[in-house]
This record gives sequence, C-alpha cells and structure tokens, in this order.
Amino acid sequence: MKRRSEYKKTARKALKGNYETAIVAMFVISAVSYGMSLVFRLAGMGNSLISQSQSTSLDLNQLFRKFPFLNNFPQIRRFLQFSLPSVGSIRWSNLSPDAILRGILISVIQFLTAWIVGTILNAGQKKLHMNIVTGEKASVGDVFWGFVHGFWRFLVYAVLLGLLHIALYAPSVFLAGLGILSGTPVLFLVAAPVYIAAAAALVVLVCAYSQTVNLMVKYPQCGAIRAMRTSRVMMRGHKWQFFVLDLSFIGMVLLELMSFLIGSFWIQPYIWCTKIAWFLDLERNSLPPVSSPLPNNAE
Amino acid sequence: MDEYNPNGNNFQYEAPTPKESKNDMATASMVMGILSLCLICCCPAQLFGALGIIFAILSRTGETLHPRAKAGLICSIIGIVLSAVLIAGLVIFAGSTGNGTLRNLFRYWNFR
Repeated sequence: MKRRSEYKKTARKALKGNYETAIVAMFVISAVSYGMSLVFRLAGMGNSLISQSQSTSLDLNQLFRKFPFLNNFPQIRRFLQFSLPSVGSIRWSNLSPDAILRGILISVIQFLTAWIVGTILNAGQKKLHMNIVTGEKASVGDVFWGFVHGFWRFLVYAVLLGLLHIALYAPSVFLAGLGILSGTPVLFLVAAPVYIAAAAALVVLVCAYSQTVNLMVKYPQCGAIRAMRTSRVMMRGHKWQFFVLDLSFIGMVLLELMSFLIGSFWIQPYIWCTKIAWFLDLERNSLPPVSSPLPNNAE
Repeated sequence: MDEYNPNGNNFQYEAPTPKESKNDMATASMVMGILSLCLICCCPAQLFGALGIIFAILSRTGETLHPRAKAGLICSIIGIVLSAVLIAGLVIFAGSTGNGTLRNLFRYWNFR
C-alpha cells in the first residue's frame, strides 16, 4: 500500500477539470432531497401533526408540570419558548387518534422514501467518483446509476448495517431506559461503558464493511452479502489504515465548517475520490481469491 | 544569417517560452486570500480565508505548491489570524470597559 499523501495526490489530479461535474452532482442530489420534502409538503402530508394543532396556544406549563425537574433549568424553558414554538404548541390531547395515526404513517413513509432514495443516490455518487478516479467518462447522470443497477443490493446492505447499529446500541439504551423507569442511577453508570464498548465495536465493524458499496459499484453483478464478505476479507489488516485515512480529513472538515459549508462542494469530492483511490489500490494489492472471482461468481 | 530558400520551407518554428502552468485553483486561492485580507474587519474574512486555504491545498497536484497558491495560502492564514485577533480584542476591550458595553452588545445580538 502507498502512503496516504499518494492517494490524496491521485484524487487531486483526477479531480482537476472534473470539479464541475462533482459539484453539479452534489447540487442534483440536494435538489432531489429538497424536491422530495417539497412534494410531501405540497401534498399536505408533511408536518400534519403540527399543522393540525397550530390553533392551540403555547402550553409549556403542562410540560413543566409533568417533568418538575425541568424547573431547575430555566434556560431550557427559554430555549423552548423562543426557538421551538411549533414543538411547544403541540397539544397531543387535542389531536384525534386518526390524526396521530396518519401523522405517524406519513412520517414513516417520508423517512423511508428519503432513506431509500438517499442510499441509492449515495451508490450513484460513488460510481461518479470512481469514474473520475479511473479516468472514465464521468457525467452528472451517474448519480442515478444505482436505480438501474440492482438498487436492492444497496438497500439490503443499508438494512443490515442499520440492524448492526441497533443490535450494538440496544443493550446500552435498554439499560439507560431501565434506569429512568426504575429510578436507579447505577444503571446509568453501567450503561455508559456498555455504550462506549458498542461504539468502539461499531467503528471496527463499519471499517470492516466499508468497501461493500465500492465493490457493488465496481462489480454490478455482485450481491450485498458477497460484497460484505469480500470487504471483510479485504480489510483484514487494513482497518486501522482506513480509520487513520478517515481521521486525516479532520482539518479539511474544520475548514469546511469555517467556510459555512461552502467549501464542502470541493472537499467532499476530494474525500470521496481519495477513499476510492485507496479502495482501488487495496483491491489491486489483495490476494487474487479475494477480488478476482467476484464478477464471475456473482449472486 | 540564413538565406532565403525559394524551394524549401522557410517557416521557422519558435519554441514556446516556458509559461506557468494553468492552475485555476491556485488563482482562486489567491483571490480568496486577498479578499480575506481586505475584509479583515468583517465576518467574511473567516469564510474567504477558509476557502483560500482549501483551494490552495486542492491546487497542489505536483510536488510543490503553485506560487499563486502559496500567496493565497499565506494571505488566507494572515486574514484568518488577524480577524480572530481583532474579534478577540474587541470582546476583551468591551468586557474590560465595565460600563455594560458587552451587555449592550449581547442585547443588540438578542442574547438575552
């Protein structure tokens, strides 16, 4: 494997003359996300819970009566009064069960749509950046590549990764919830290390499966499970390298924040291209059984 | 001096003088750096400075930084540092006057 700076240089060279495509692709993805939320709003479906209870007045007293310990924090009250009037104005008791059910259903549909489209667009973005790094013809239309190349594979991977998150965080959340319900602070003390251990395990697992989408993008016939297995094998002994590569972008991310996220239009493609250059090199240096059977033995 | 040859090709090829390679990112970095220096008293100095540093870093495709990128990087860093010092000095000065200037400033920004 090369040094980190080599991959970064490869990314910068590949992006020279291709920034326009990458930036327009980011705009397209933002437009699609915004368009989806707009469609939900225009259809009168979004924020239905809040809109139906707009007529009710601000009633924070009820909230503070229910949770008396909040009275010790006047800042929270002030914050709710000034910053979140819409949350404060919801009177759940004023809503009919139908309205609540419809609101929940719509929220679930909205979340699922955003999640599915976001996951597939993410794969398309990887395809675009892979084309940029390999020197193939890259176009903005590549962001929709995932929709016509087995989109279910990306969804299966996202679901499995989500389940992994839930499985690892569930014990600590369960312990903390039990602590609140039973009023035993000791359970919080137990939940904290469990949470930290889960987070650490998750970092290792996310690094192990980090190349799954890249593999599925490079080999369109490759299924999610096979790609996950291959990624795990490929990443053996390289997880720390990948983690450090990710960490090395902290400075750039800070600059991105300082520029009020305007810099993200240049930084994000750079990060993506660097990671893809790293993946391509890792795959090249992997043992033949890891990568070569993929295109032929597709699921 | 070469004589004119009526049968031959008299066109003499002039080798192009070595010019600096085109690097839009480096130019953008320099522009941002200059803007951050010019707007040192305003908040955008941080924004332009950060963009100047980003462009300078991304402009580097060879072993060394392009001279314009180097200029942009230096200007951006100076712009960010000076504007941060200026803001810190303003806050310290306003706090040390003790006549409620800082309170008035916060009231002006609606931090009540």
